Amino acid sequence: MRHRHCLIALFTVMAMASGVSLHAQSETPVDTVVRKVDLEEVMISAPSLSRTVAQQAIRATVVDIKDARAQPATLTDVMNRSAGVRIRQTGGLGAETSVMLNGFGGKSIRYFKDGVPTDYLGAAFNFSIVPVNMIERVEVYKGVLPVSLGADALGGAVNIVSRQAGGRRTVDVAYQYGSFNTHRASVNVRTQTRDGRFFGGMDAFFNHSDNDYRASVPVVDTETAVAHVGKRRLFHNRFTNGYAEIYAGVANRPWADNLRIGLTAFHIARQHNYGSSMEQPFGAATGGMYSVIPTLKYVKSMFDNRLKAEQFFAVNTLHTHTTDTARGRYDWNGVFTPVASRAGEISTEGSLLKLRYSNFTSRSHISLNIHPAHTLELNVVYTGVKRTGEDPRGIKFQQTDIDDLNRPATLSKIVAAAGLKSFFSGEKLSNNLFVKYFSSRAKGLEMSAITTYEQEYELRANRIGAGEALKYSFGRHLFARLSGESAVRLPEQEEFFGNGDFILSNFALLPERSYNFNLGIHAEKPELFAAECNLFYRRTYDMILLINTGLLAQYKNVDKVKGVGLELDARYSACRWLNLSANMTFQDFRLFGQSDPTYEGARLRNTPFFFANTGINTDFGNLFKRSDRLSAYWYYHFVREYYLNYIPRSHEPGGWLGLWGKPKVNVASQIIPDQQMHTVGCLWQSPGRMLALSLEIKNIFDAEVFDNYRIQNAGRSFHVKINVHL
Amino acid sequence: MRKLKINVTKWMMLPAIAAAMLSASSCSDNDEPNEEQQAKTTYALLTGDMTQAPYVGYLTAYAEMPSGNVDNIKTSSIAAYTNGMRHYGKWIFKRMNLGGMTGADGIQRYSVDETTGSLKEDGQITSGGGCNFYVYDAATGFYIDQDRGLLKIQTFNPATMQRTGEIDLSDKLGATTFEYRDIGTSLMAGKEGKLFVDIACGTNAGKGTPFNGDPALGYIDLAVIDIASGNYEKTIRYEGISYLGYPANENQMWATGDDGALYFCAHGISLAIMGASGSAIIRIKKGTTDFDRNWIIRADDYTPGTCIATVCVKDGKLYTQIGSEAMSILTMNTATVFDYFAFEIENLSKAPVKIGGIPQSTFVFQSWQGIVVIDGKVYFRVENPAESKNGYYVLSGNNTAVEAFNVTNGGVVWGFAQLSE
Repeated sequence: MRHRHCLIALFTVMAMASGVSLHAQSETPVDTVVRKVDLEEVMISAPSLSRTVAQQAIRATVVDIKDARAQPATLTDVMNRSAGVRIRQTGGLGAETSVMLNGFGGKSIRYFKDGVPTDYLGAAFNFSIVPVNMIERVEVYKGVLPVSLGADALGGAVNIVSRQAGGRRTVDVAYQYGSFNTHRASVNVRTQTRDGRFFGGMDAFFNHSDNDYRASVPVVDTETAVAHVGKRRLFHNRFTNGYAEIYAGVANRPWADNLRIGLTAFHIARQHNYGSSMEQPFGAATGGMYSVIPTLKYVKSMFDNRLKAEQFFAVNTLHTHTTDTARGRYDWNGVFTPVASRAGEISTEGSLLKLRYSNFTSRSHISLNIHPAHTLELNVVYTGVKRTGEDPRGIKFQQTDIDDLNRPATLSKIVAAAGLKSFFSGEKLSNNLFVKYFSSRAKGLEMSAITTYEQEYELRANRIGAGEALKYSFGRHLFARLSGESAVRLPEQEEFFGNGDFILSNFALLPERSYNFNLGIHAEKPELFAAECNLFYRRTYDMILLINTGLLAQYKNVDKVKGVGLELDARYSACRWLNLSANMTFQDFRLFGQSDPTYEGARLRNTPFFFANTGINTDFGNLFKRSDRLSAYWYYHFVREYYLNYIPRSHEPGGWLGLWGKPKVNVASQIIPDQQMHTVGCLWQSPGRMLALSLEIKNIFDAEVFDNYRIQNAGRSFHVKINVHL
Repeated sequence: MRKLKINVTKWMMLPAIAAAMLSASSCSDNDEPNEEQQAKTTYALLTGDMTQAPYVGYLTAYAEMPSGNVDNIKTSSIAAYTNGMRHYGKWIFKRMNLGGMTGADGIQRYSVDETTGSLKEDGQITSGGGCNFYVYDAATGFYIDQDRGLLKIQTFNPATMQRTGEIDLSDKLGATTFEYRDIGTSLMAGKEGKLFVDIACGTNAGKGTPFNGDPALGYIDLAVIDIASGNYEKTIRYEGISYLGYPANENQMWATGDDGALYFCAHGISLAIMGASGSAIIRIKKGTTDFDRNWIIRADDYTPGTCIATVCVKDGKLYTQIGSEAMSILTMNTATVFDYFAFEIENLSKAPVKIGGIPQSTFVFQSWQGIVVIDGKVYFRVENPAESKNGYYVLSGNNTAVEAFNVTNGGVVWGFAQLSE
C-alpha cells in the first residue's frame, strides 16, 4: 500500500511538474499503472510526456521543444516543421501571426497557455515572440479538443505548455543575437526548500529586433507617379517586448498539493512600417500593449487521489494603444513628405487609440476516477472582458458626436465540458466521450437610424457540442484512432453589434458550427522509425463573414465549407548519428451550397492547400570533450502557391493534386507564390548540457518568401545563441 | 497666379480633343463603327462577387459580342477587382483601391494583348488617395492625389500612364466657411475643352460626403477649367440638389449624350436616412459651360426615395433606371426593384416609358455601364437572381428590349464595354 502511495505521489508530482492538464496523465488509470508499470518504467516515461499527449485518443500534434531549445529557432519555425500546422507571419520578429489548421484560421482557432485561454495575455505569450526556452511543448489540436481545453474553438486549438524546471534549484539563461539587430534573451529560475514545501521562481524573456530586412517594394517616381519594384530596407519596423513572471507557492501540504501565486508583467512596443500590404510605407506610426497580471493556481487531490481538482484565476487590465499622428506620408526611401490634409499616415484622420480590456479568467478542472478503467472529467472556463477606451480621432456616433469607444462593451463566455474516459480490453481500446456547453453574453450599443441611436442591447447565445474519440492499440507500437466533434464558435462583440460606423449590427447571427473528424494510424519502431498518417474531414456551416451590403457591411452566416485533409509524417534514424524526417499536408477544403454556382466546389481562398517539410539531423558525440555533442541540421520547407481569389474548380492548376500546374485563368495579381526555404545550423553542447552554443542560417538562399498577400518576410539571416544551464 | 505644370507638347494635340471627347463616358460609343473599327473591336466583360472582400472577379475579352449563355471565366480571363470599371478607346481603367486589400490607391490600366487577345495589366499610376480619375482623350487624363493637395488635379497621359503635371486651384476657388474642401473626388467630366470637377465642402471628419456624417449642402458646385490652358474659369452652382458623382466608385454617374450635352446623376444617398432622397438628373447642354436650370428629372416625382445612378442619351431619348420602391442602404445591392425608363429629352412633362421586355434588376451602383451604347445599340444591365438573369438586354425598338446575353458562370455583371483602337 505504501509503495502504491509512493507511486501515486510520484505520478502526481510528475504531472504537475510537466504542466500538462491532469486528464492527460490520467489517460492510463492510476490503478492500472500500479498493476502494470513498475517504478523503472514510470521514470522512463516521464521524459516522453510529449509522446504521451501525442498518443491520446484525441489526436494532438505535439511540438516537442526540447531538442530545439538550444537552437536559435523561433517557435514559429519549430511549429511550421510539424505536419498539418501552418503558421503565417506578416513580417519579422513580433509581427502578427496566425495558425492555419485544416483550412481554419483566425477566430476559429483558440490559444491556451497551460490549458487557460490566453485572451487575458493579449499578444504577450503569442507563439511568435515567446522564446523556445520558455516552453516545454506545444500541443496542437485539430478540430477535436479535449475536455480540459475550454473554448469555443471551431477548428482547433494551440496549447502552449510553459517550461517547468526540474531539480531543486535551476537556472537557465539563453541569449541569442541575429541579423537585423535581433536580440533575444530568456531567464528561467526556480528554487524550492529542501522539503519541497515552498518554491519560487521567475520566468522572463526579452525580445528586440529592428526587423530592417530588405524587401521588394514599390518605389514611386514622384514626378511620373509610376512605381517600380525595388529592394529597400524596412526602416520603421522595430519591435521590443519584455515579459516576466515571478511566482511563489507551497506544495505538498495537507490542504494543497500545489498553491501557486504569480505576478506577470509585460510590455510590447512596435513600430508599424506597413499595413495590410507593403504597397504604402509608414514611418512614424507606433503601437503597443502592457499589463500586470496576478494569477492564482490551486491543485488538490483527494480521496486517495481519485478526485483531483485544479483552479486557476487571473484578473487584469490589458492596455493597448495605437498612435498615428504623422501629418504626411513616407516613401520607401524613408523620405517624409508633409501633407497638410493628413492628420495621420495610416488613415487621413490619424489615431490616438487607447483601449482597456478588463479581464477575468477562471478555469476549474476536476477529474474523478470512478473506476480503475473510467475517469470522469469536468472543466469549466469563464472569461469576461469589458472593453473601454477612446480615440479622439476615431469614429463617433453621428447623432451625439460621442466616441463610441467611450461606451463599454462587455463579452462573457462560459464553456463547460464533461467527459468520460474509459479503457477496455486491457487498455487496447480507449474511449473518450464528452459533451460541451457554450454560452456567451454580449452587451453593447447598436447604431440604428430606424429605431434609436446608441440603444443598448444584451444578447445571449447558447449551444451544445459533443464529441467522441476512440483509440485502438494493435500492439505497443501500432495504434489507430478515430475522433469527431460537433464544434461551435460563438459570435463576438463586433459581429453582433457592428462598429458603430460602417459595420451594422446583426442580432440574428448564429454561432458557427463545424463537424470535424480525425482518423489516423501510427506505427513506430523505437530508435528506428515512426510514421503517422492522418485524415481529417470537416463540414462547416454558418461561417461568419463580413458581407458588403452596398454602402455598409454586416457580419452574416454565409459560407459552408467541407473537405478532407491528409497528413503524412515520418521519422527515420538511419544510424546513430543520422536522423531523417519528413512530413506533408494536403488539404482539399471547398465551398459548398453556394447561391452562385461559379464557386461551388472552389477551394478556400487565401488558404495554403499543400505544404511539406523535410529535415536531416546529424549528431556526433565526444568530439572536443568526453560526452559533448555536436549536431548539425538542415530543414527544407515548402508551401505551394495559393490564391487570394476563388478559382472555379474547373480552372484550378493541373498536375497531380494541383501541385505543378498553373491556374487555367490569369490570377497573377492574386498569387501568394511558392515558398521554398532552407535553414541550416549547428549546435555544440557541453557535457551535461550545461553550455550550448549554436549557429543558424535561415533562408540560406535568400528566397523571397510571403505568408500573406504582398507582405514579404525576411530573407537570409544569421543567428547565434548561447544557453547556460546551472 | 496660374500654377499649370502640364507638358506643353501634348497640348499640340488639341485638334483631336473635340473629336474624341464624346467617347469618354459610358454612353458615348460611336453609333456605327466603320469596317476598320470593327476589325479591331473587342468587348470586355467584368463579373464577380461584391459581397465578401476582397471583391475579386474576372475580366474577359471577347472578339465578338457575347450572346446566349456566357461563362465569363475562361483561360483568357484575368482576375480583377469587381467594383466596376471605366473604359476609353482600347483601354480599361480601374481605380486600384476599390475592392482590394492592399490599401494602395492609383489607376490600373488594362489593354488587349495583341498576341493572345486577352486583357492584361499594362500600366499603373500611383496616388496618395482619393484617386478619382477621368480620361479625356488618348493623351489627356486627370486624377486626384490628395496627398499632393486637396485642391489640385493631377494630369496624366493615358497612353504612357505617366503623370504629366497638375492643375492647382488652391488660390482660385476663393474663401470658404467650411473647414474642409476638396475637388474632383466625386466627379470629373469634360466636354468641348472644358473640365468640370465637383467641389466638396464639409467638416474635417465628414470630408464633405454623406457617408461620414456631413449634411447635404443643398446645392452643387462644379469648378470649370479650361483643359488646354489649365486655367480655372468659374464655379457653377445648381441649387436644390446635392451630391453629383460618387467618391469611391467606378460609376461616376454621368454620361455624354449624343446631343453633346453632359448629363449628371445626383444620387441623393444619405447614411442619415439609410436611403436616398432628392435624387435627380441635371445637364449642361452642348455649347454651354453652365447648368441648364430649366431642365431636371427628379426621381422622387416617380418613386419617392429611389435613386438614379445611370443615364444614357441617344436619339432624343434619355434612358435611366428608377426603382419601384424607396432605396434602403441595407439592401441596395440585393433589392431587385429597378426598371429602365425612357424619357423624351426635350419634353420632360411627358411621362417616361418603361422599357418593356426586361425583368426588374438590382441597382447598377458600381457599374458605370448600367446603360451603355455599343455598336450603336443601347444595352441595359440586368441582374435578377430570382429569374436567373445576369447580363445585358439590348433595345430592339419601340421601347422594348430583348436579352443580349446572360452570364451563367462568373458572378454578377459589373462592367461591359466595347474597346476599339
